Amino acid sequence: MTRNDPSRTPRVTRNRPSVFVFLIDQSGSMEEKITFNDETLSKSAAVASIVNGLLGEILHRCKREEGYRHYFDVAVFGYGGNEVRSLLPGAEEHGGFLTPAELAAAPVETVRYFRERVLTDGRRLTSVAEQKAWITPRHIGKTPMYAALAKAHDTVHEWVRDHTDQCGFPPIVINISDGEATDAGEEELAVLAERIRGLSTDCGPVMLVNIHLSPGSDELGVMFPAEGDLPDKPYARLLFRLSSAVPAIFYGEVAAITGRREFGQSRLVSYNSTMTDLIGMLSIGTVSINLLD
Amino acid sequence: MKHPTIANCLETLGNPLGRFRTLTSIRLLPDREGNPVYRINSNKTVGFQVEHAGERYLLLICLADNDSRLNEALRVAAYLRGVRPPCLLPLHVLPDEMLVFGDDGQPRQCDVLLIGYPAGQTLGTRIAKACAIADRKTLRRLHLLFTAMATEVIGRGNFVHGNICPAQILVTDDGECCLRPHREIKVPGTDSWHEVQSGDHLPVASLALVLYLLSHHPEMYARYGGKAIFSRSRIRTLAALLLNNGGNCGNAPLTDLMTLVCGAGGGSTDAGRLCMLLRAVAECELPVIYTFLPDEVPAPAGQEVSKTSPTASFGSVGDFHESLAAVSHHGKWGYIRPSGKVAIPLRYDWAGDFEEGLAIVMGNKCFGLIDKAGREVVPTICEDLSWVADNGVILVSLEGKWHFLDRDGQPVGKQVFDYVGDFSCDLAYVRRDGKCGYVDRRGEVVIPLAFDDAGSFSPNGFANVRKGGDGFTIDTQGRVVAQP
Repeated sequence: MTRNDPSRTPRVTRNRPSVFVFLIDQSGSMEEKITFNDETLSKSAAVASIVNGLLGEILHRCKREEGYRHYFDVAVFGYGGNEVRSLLPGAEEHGGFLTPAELAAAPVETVRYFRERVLTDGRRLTSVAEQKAWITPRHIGKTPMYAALAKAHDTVHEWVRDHTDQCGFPPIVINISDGEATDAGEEELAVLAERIRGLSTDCGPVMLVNIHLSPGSDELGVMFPAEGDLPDKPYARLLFRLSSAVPAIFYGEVAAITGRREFGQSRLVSYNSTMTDLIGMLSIGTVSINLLD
Repeated sequence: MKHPTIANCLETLGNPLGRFRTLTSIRLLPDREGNPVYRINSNKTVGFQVEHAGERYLLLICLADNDSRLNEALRVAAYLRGVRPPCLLPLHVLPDEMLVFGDDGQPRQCDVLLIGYPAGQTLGTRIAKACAIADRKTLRRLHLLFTAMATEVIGRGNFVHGNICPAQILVTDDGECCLRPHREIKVPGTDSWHEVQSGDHLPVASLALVLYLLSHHPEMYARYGGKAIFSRSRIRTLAALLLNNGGNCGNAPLTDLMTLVCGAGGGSTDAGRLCMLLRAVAECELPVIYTFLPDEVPAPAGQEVSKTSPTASFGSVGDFHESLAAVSHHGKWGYIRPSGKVAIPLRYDWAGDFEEGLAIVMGNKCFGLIDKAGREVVPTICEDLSWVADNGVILVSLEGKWHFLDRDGQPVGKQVFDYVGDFSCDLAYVRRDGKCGYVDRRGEVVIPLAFDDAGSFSPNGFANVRKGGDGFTIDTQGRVVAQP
């Protein structure tokens, strides 16, 4: 019998699952070409590949002999043009969420991909691997980020209401975007973000993570900054303001990525991130969580 | 890249050419649908079924920080290679063996463990299948196989497995009985070797007794909860009941084995005597009498027997702690002695294990604390309760506030808190009115409640705290040792 201070002892089990909500910018600017894994492709294609990889890894972690254990509920919304829509097939019927078993059974294409690898002896060999493509790249129109955050709020609010005493880890909302919202001003976004962060379960408040993708400039990025680490950019300051503080349970992982040891004023935000930074940011609080039972 | 993902590992194993230092002929073994077969252990390690040089193995890779175990694993593996225990499946620890590429394309050399994994089934699976069809012949053969393996392990005494149980024993398709290497394996060369040297004796004796019982009465498997019959507490209770009620039929080796299992003789014996007992019991053809167990237990002379049903009809039987085990019947909990006699009546909604003479119980949806005489040290009125013997302090939550009590249930100190954390370095962080600090085991504030956030002390005596937006590290005297 233990006393629970939920923010200290996250324990994801089948009876106390957790939840991830991904918001993916699919506005026109995501068509911009970048180089990732020695390949030239659009930012939207790179993000889709990375998120698909993360979903695949989550499934691997949930797989057992008897099938997929229900450790998580996952929702993925894309926002671009005038709409915010679920990117997971069949998820709308379940409030936007899919369980691992439903994710595994989703009728999506399995993509075979080839990666050229350079071995330690200098030889170049090609790897062949497969990955399910739940998210397909898309880039159109403007950036309705406010509408996406509002969708995330409503979706998580319902989940929290249904899992008040059954949450194993604080819910995480991860917003991935390369640009600024075109459907709301700074104050509106800040108020909405505060409402999202104000949603709370018995294991702690919802964590809001904002990841800003580099526009391809030479400007250096920052990850988990304190306010004093931010570049002199209003949008960087806005994203900082929208984001949750780094909780103590993430200190070790953040230290491993950034090399820093003090996070007293740091927030769950990155600005001017490369795709490599995106991979690091997404791994925190997702595949790193301890799954019990 | 911190650690590989499972997908990263699958890419390497699916494209092994040039990516292994020594395992140059390794390949993944797929299931019938052609999918790779792997098992995950609490997000810490993943094991892939592979084939190398014509032999089947389990390839283990760490998914999280586990570096501190590598050196010990190398030492254990080197020792085992030297002594070559015939019943232990091979274990190879291979540092920097496998080249893995992260999602960012960066390479990393990963350590791997390679464990022998011949075709076969666990002893547990074999027993379950044989019991289902009352196949006494197979059960007897399994008993003999186990005895041969166990006497080899106990007799040599040159390593301690640490987790001998049906799931860790493989019966190969060739009819061999083998132990799977386990992280709890202990070998000579550490200060604690003498303390742990007989660590396999009780598990071996318990399993041998179960196999003996099932080989004569396979119906006992289903009657006593299937694989739950292997639980130490269950077999200990059964052994005690059989001993006390003549179920051993005067069979001397069996009597001695039951005595060893139920701890009546102190729970230990020397290796030579244990091997002799195991062999004698394996050769014994006499059945036990146990049919009285599900009904009334005949009373030993001079002792009153409770009308409460004995162990076999309890819904749940916990482990014995301090000679008492929590049991439930029709949704009510109490405690029994190893003899099966009820020691504390079944009147609680839930009952925990005894620790230093006290146990947490629950009644009317509230928690309380009882001693071994059944006296309520703390009545069942608490919203929550914590009794950790190491701390020597009872913590109770009443109307949302935590209070410190001594082990007699009397208040200690006058302070109450909104939250009390776990003790570490003799201090626990506490929170009251939004501020955090630290108290000692008497509930006295040692480091003032001046912080906005705080964490438990690490074993080396440091804790992370936050105040006014600044994060820093303090020692157990409250001195700042690191700050931004």
